[in-house]
This record gives sequence, structure tokens and C-alpha cells, in this order.
Amino acid sequence: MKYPAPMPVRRLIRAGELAGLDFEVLAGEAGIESREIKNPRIQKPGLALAGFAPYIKGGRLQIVGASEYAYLETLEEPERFQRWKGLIDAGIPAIISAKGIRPTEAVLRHCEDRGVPFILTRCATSVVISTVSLFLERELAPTVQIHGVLMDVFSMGTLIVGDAGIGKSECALELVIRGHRLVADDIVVVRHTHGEGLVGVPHRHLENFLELRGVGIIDVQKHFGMTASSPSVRISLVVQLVKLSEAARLKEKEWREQLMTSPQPWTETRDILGTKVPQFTMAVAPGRDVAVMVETAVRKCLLAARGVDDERAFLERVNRRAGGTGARPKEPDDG
Amino acid sequence: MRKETVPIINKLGLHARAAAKVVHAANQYDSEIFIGTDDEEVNAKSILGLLTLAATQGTSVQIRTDGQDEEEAMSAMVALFKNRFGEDE
Repeated sequence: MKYPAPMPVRRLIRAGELAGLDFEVLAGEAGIESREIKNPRIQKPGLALAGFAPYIKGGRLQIVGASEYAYLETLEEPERFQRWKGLIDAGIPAIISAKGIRPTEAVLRHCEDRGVPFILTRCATSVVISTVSLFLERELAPTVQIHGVLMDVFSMGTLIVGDAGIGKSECALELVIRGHRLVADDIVVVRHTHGEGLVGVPHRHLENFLELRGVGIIDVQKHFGMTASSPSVRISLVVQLVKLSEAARLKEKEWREQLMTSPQPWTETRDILGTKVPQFTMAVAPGRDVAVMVETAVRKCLLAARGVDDERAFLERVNRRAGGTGARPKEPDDG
Repeated sequence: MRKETVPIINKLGLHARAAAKVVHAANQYDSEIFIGTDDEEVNAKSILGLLTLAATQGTSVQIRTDGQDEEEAMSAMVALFKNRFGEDE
């Protein structure tokens, strides 16, 4: 697992995703490269400006809006400036002022002297907070690189893993031909955020590329069109491909028994950045069309999310016919 | 598991043809083989991953082998890097 480096304020100001906020740097331009945002959480410094200074967290972006200005209006100078000074000198990366409200020249001069960027936007405070928080959470999220292929199958992010040469890329190609989308081949960069969960993207140099042994490297967008790839997807399940060995055979037996007793269509989970993701393990062997099996596993997950449980339906039918004891007990929440 | 650090000494670094040679050599072994820089580690049996390292002359890479034939795999990998991937300079 890797934590990204702190983000210089410049990246926030220039970010394409935040272009709608139309940032304008009023002062402290000198600090946009050296000042860094270390924490994805923003702070509203209202309490700090009211005098509760220890609450200011260095490394966090400060967002001031109408309420802060309204409160400061109730104070007299020089006390008002002292409060601003306390905030500006607290080791913060930058201040964003919402709703286009400008502070006094003295405040801007102090920001300029200390090299603390003071950034203006016309957008409402709530909009600034939500857009900037989502951006920071994404950019500062922990990531991990996984060797595998990530596909978007019916909008379910399907991570295919397994040893080199087992046929992950070939499976991806077959899935693309069946109308699904390639997200990443070989290196899948996965990040975890509270808002979005696990999201996988390609390595920045590998977008749209797929390597097929015996054929070469192909650009799936050029070969199959715009809809053959997707820039990112939320990871919903993992498919692990294994060779059909004696060990795999024994495990399959175990899984078959488990499938008949568990309410979920998957038999294991895999831990990715602290999140447990459903995992299917499939043995690769002649005559097994892995892509079709992957697609079916995804369908099974989608149906399970809607309460459809093939195994139970089957066992209940057998049970009704035979009056036997084959059916597993109903789940308590089934009603 | 075995780990070793080797410098890249050939002029062009771990470029496309060199990477292809590494992949070919890595695939001769059953062990898992990884090559990493300070930031990233990739599977040596796949060319896409190797090329993303963009390792140039003068940098060092960490080789990691894990499996039944990890010793042989490691010596083959180290030899390939030391031999400048069979290139003249």
C-alpha cells in the first residue's frame, strides 16, 4: 500500500476537475508550490476565528464563507486582524474564500508576506466544500497496484487475477468482444475512498492497451471502438484464475459444498486496502470458456443483490418433490 | 523468496527490446518474478508492466523471485542485467 505524496496547492488550483470553481489567487502566490495539503479533510475555521485556535489543523485546507465574515464583522480592529493572523500563521496550506467575498487589504498583505495562498471563488461554500473534499479524497487516497486485469462487466468492476500466462488478457479480450469494457490490463491501480469505495484505474502509461501473447500489444479503442474501454470502475468482485491441479480439484469440492449451504454466490473474499471483496476462483482448463464463466459470475452477483439465489431455489424445488431434507434453512430475514 | 538489487548499466536502460528479453527469460521459470524501483513493483513476466518502470541507465532495480526455482530464476535475471541485455553498450 502506498500513500500519495502531499499535494502542492498549485495542483488544487490548476485541477481540471475544479475548473468550475474558477479559482483566483488574491495573495500568497509564492506559496503555491511550497505549501502542501497533507490531509484530504478540509476545515471551516469558524471556531478558530472565534478564538479557539488549538482547533486549527496544520496541513488542512481552510475554507471560509459568509458565516466567518459575518462573525468577524462583530469584532473591532485590531482584534479582527489578530484573529486572521492566528489562522494564517498556523501552518495551513491555503485559504479558500467562497461566495466571492474579499477580506481586508491588511489580511491579503499578511498572506502575501507569509506566502500563504489566499484563493477566491464565486461559488457557494457548500459547493466548494463538497467539490474540493471529493477531489482531495480521491487525490490523497491510499493506493495499491495489483497485477491483473480490470473489466467493467455490466457496470460491475471485475478484477481478474492469476499467475502470469494463465490467460487473464485473453479472457479480457473475449469479454471486450462480448461488449464489456476494458479498464486496465497488467497493472491495476486501486484506490480506496470513503465516498466511492474501491475504484480501479489503469496505470497512466497503459490506458487502453492490452497485451496478447502471440499477437502483440493492441489498443482496444482503435480495434474495437470508443465503448471498448472505460477509464475507471468501482471494484465489485474478484475472479481468480488457477490451473486445474489436484489442489484446485479438492478446493472445488469444498466450494461446491459451501455453495449449497451459503446464501452468497461467492465462496471467498479478498482483502483489498481493508475492504473485503467477493472472490470467485475458477480453474482454467480446455473446454472452459473463462469469459462466459466470468460474465455468468457477474450476473449471479447482480441477481444475488436483487435477492435471487439459484442454489436455494433449486434445493427448494428438489425438497418439495422429494420431501427430503436437502434444502438449507431459510435465511431469517427472508420473511 | 530471494531479493537482489542490480544497477542498470546499458546505455538505453530498460527499453522495449530489453524488456522483451526480460519477459522472455522470466517466463522460463515457474517462480513469480517481480522487478521494482523505489515507487513501484511489477511482474517481470509481462511486458506492459515492465515498460511502465521506465528505468534508465544509472538507476537500480530490485529483483524478487519466489517459488520452486527461485534461485535459478534470480541468477538468470541478474545475469541478464549485468550482461546489458546482450547489448554492446
